[in-house]
Amino acid sequence: MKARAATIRRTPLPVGGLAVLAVVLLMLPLVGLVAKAPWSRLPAQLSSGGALDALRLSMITSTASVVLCLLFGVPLAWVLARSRFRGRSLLRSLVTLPLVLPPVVGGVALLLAFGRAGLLGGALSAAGIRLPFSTAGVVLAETFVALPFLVLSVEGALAALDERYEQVAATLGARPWAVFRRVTLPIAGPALAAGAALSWARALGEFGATITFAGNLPGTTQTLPLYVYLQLQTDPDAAVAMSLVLLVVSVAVLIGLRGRWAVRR
Amino acid sequence: MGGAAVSLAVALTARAGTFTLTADVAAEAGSVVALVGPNGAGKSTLLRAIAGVHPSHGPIAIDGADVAGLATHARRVGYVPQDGALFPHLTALDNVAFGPRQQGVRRTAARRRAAEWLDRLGVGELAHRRPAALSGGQAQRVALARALAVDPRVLLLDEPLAALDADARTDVRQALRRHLSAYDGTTLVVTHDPLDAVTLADRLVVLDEGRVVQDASPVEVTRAPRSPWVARLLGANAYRATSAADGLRLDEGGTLVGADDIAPGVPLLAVVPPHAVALHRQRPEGSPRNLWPGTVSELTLVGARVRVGVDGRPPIVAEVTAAAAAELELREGAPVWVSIKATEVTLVAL
Repeated sequence: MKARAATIRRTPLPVGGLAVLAVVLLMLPLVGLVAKAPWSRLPAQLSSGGALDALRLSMITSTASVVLCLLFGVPLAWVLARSRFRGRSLLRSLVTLPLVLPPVVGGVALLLAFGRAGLLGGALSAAGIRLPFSTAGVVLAETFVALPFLVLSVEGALAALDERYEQVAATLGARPWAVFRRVTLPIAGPALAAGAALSWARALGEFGATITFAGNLPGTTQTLPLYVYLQLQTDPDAAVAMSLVLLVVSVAVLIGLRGRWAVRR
Repeated sequence: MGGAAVSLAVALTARAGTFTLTADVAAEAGSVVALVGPNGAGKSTLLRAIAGVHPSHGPIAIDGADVAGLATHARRVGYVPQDGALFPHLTALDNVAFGPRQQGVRRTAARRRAAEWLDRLGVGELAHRRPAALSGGQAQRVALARALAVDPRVLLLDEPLAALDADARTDVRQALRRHLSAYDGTTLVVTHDPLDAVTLADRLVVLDEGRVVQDASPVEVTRAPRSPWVARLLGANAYRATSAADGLRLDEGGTLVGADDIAPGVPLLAVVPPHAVALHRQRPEGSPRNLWPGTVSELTLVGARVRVGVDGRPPIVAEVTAAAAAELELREGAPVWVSIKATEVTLVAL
């Protein structure tokens, strides 16, 4: 029996070979990035004015979009996980749409909703708010693409949460808001952190929707990915240096998650 | 009810799975009522309805005040679900302090009160452990402390011993006995275990398919169980039957003859204690009133006696001494004759 089990376990040659190729496909570009990086001139590249501006803007906008994701995404996740209403699964599909939608289409859609000629264009300009080609527009675009990560992560945790904890908390005198704050949120905490980290990383890397909806104005809407793309034409070393920064950030997020996302899905 | 104040009086209906639970239960202050019944009888639903975590209709009066219209947090009931459901993100101490904190007690005072309760339940030294680091018995004690720390008028325990191993069970049962007898509110405890029911409770309420089928003292329920399930729980054979001119027609097939004369057509429960069932290798001489052939289906040793399951019409459980079992050469599949004296068949009106 043992020998047979071992035979079954043995990886067929074509499967193993193709798997190795897949790893090469995934890793080789990263190896290239690290190998070809202008290490000696890196400090200078990283501290150039344009790079720092883009980095600062990216940090501010991605952090702001995570705050928005938490503010709106947690309640949405709660509704999806806890409420029973018609069209709930349809709503869930719509929420996940930005995951599969080409980001540039997201940018066009944002223009048609919040742009001058968009659905809310009149109302927004009457209120003196201009979203396209503004930093707020960057945050909006990033939130649009990052929100599903947070909602899915938190919804999964809330749906899996044993409702008896909340029931017991209520019998102990906790009002609904206290139950949510003292029991639901802390127990869902790890998933919340994972969702926040993922949506932050997604916001940080946002390119297509941002450039379409918010443009590429240095200091105002030129985030790090946009800066990298632009520099690639004129100063490839600068582009590689900032790419390295984004790579390090992504790896840090992965390490921070420690497979939590993968396990929970 | 005597002269004591009625502490809990419910007359509620609630949807529970495929049926509607209709429960009319009252209990005096300081008493312990065990809710027993088969799986899905509505026991847990009744607890949850009283706690306010399951929708129900009808009054739930605690010390005379109807709390049915109140939100869960305003009801002042202590609810301990199966296996305790301790908050996994809080230490044992903070689990117990949670209730007092919600009632506005300051943090230090709440923790002090929590530490007292943990001490009282014998788990004071575990105060700073998370639930994941507690054994089942320890967790159950902490959960009990957490419920008692808010000084509830009614304590609702859902199978507090079910998830425990035998040692922890004995241990927690003793703790429960001690604390429930000192507790001045009313306790409802759901249990599957007849030993728990009899040792913990002043009264048994037997539920079946969402209805109360019996509400009596443990002694009374043991003497005259009114449902086959509870009779079997207490170790007796029981058959739903209808009286006829020549005896009892059993719902599941077969007949029995009792000593009492009963008008035909009355629905009854026929109860036969296993020790009153005699087994024979050959058809016995004489003419016992109840005699039928069967096949041994199961043998279990209970102390020095052997419980013998016999497939027949009707199936029955007999209890014989180990010596008799050897003498009869009982083994699974062996043919036997079953006889019962008519005087051993107890009839309970349904």
